Amino acid sequence: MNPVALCIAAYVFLGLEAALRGPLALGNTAATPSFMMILMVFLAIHGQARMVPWLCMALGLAVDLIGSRPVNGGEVLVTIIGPNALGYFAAGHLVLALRGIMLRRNPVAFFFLCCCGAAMSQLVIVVVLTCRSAVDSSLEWSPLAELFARLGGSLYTGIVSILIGPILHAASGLMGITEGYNRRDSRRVMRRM
Amino acid sequence: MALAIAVLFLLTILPSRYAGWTNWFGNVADFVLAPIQWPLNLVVGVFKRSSEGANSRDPVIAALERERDKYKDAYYRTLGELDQSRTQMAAMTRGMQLNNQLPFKLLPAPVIGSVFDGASQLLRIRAGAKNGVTEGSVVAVEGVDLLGRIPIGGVADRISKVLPIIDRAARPISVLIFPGETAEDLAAEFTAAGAIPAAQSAVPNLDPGSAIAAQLTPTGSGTLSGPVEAPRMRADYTPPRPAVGMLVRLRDSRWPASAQMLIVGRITMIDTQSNGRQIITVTPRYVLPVADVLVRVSGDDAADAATNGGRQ
Repeated sequence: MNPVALCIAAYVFLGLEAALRGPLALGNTAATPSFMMILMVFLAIHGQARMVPWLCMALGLAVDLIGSRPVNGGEVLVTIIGPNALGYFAAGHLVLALRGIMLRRNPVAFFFLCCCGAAMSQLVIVVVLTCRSAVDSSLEWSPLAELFARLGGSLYTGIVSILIGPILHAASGLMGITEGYNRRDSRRVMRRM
Repeated sequence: MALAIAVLFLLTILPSRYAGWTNWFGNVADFVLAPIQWPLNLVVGVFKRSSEGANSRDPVIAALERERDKYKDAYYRTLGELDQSRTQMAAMTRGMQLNNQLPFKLLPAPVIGSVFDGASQLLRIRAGAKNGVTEGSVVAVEGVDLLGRIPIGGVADRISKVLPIIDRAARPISVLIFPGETAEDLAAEFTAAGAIPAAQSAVPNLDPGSAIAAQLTPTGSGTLSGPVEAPRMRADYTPPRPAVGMLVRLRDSRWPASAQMLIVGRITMIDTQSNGRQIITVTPRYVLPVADVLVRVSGDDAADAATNGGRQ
């Protein structure tokens, strides 16, 4: 992978994540697509297995840093570092485990992996933030409502991935992503899990 | 790898009172992201406003309406100050120390974008501590419509984060409704020929004593809702009742003086409960994301920031 092209892609997708998540929310629900998740799934499908977990963690960390949460009834803002990094890490492992049995360039496979990856990351985020709300009551948090909204957002992410997937595949050459990857590599990761 | 996961988990569950330092990293990320987020936000704003039909208004009428609203805002603020002066005079007679009103100045700031994490939507604006913005500063749209305020930890050097009043994480607010003051377009007050209609009977009752009080809570769907407070009634007194279309203004002692009497929105729905109590739903007059805002900066803070900025 070309690290410079990868950084530029991550920057653009982070910009899309910050600018479009709110306007693309489904009605008044919290179900929103995640552009960074689509990029992460794409990189997890095509990247080297030993690199993917770190890459996913870094992308998740970037998402954590751009999101501040109001606590204490909106009086204080705090940047919570960790939930997305952990969620993306788990999603990356899931994609690594599944990519060996998927057709990489199939849009349906990409849609499926985006849905699964997003759902996994949101599940982890809800779990860790529920742990946090148990430790620190200043964060207003309703786990079930959040989980349902976020799972809806996961499906939405999958739908958006159908549009963005071809663009990413077209730009894969620029990002230095080669066609082949070692399926045994993925199986090794699965065995380690 | 295991160590990284453990550290991330510990950072996640770190209580807010110990996690203030993490905002610095967030501010750096905001600064790095601003160049790409701003143009994207402008494009989104243009699409959103055109789809909402906001651009179909006559610009001359819109400008007149803004002027009218500014004068109304000044008038209401004066009424509020008068009311406060009465309280202060009463306090003075009891020998209490008074807090002098600080002047404020309006600082225009473009909106860079929003921070949407599912639970809340903060707005990022291009104005920070170097421009005189402080934690708790009030932010308005077109000068008179209350957007929200900047929470603690929401101010960086050049970028600030605004928590809108309609965000579900925001606290409830106390408001006043002046009977007869509606949000009708100014265009409706003119005839087709452009002449001012002869009948000017619908003059709103601007007496604060006749205002209706209410407590509004954000619903999470872009509106605020809450019960109208029942006034103390004499036997021969018919209390004023809210109506759909009436404007709602902030009157909350937990907010700074510069925010008092700003427009919260207009009443879009009234639900009368079985016990006769009325629940009003208020919708702001702006559509998020907005392109520009005005930050009401305390005069002293702005002067200090200008001095410090000049030294650097």
